[in-house]
Amino acid sequence: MLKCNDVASRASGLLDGELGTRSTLRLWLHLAICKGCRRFIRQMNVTNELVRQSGRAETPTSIEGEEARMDEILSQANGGGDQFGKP
Amino acid sequence: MVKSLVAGDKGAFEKLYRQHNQGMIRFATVILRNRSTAEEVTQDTWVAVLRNIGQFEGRSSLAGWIFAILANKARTRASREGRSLSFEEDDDGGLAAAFDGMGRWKNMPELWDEITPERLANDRLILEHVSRAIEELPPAQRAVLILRGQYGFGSAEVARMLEISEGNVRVLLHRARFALRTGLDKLMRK
Repeated sequence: MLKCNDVASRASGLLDGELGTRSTLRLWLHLAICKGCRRFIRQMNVTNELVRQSGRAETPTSIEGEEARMDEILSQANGGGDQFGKP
Repeated sequence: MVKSLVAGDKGAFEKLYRQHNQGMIRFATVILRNRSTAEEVTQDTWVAVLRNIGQFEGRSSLAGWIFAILANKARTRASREGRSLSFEEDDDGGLAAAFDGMGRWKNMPELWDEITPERLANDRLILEHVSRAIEELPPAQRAVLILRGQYGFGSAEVARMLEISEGNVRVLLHRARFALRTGLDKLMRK
């Protein structure tokens, strides 16, 4: 029978679907009888969602000076006067 | 998107830039440990992306291709400047300390019933807490968390980008998530 620390160390594998069938079953067996670990798995799920959302929250639609930076990138990419993307 | 870029569509570039530039700088800052160098390398990456977009074969996502170029440039620059990031760290994210000698929880995890998926999107305070906590993670964990947790690239793709093993990616990702959830659990107990 797995212990709580075994469950904790396999939690990411479970959430990412990277555990084999046997490991997944052993983990579910533990979860069936352990309230703490059920809460923990839920916490890890919530944490993942928060991490995803925090990544989105930090991508602003506009920042001062970005227009100039984009122009500079385009002009460097167009180096010899050719349109970017063209060989 | 790719066809528009190949055709030299500036609007398509602007859309792509606005979508990824901040995340790219954030990731490069972790690798280079210097924001202005990271901005420089990110700009170089965009130039390389535009020049080489015709060679993009669609074997990965466009974002994955861009981040692979960025990771390569950032690692090369970091190594040239003698400050390569070590991925062999021993910070376990507090995993061992959370359990007693019998492998049981020292503190029963909280229910967190006040955080529901519906509330998440509107809860600025919690998101700000998470953003700050991510900034405080050890750099190797942060690099993996940005690529796997925020951008959703696969373990194999991230392993190639960082030139580490897939197993190492999994361990670092798990430690990062565990550390973040422990911080949130403490917040919920207050």
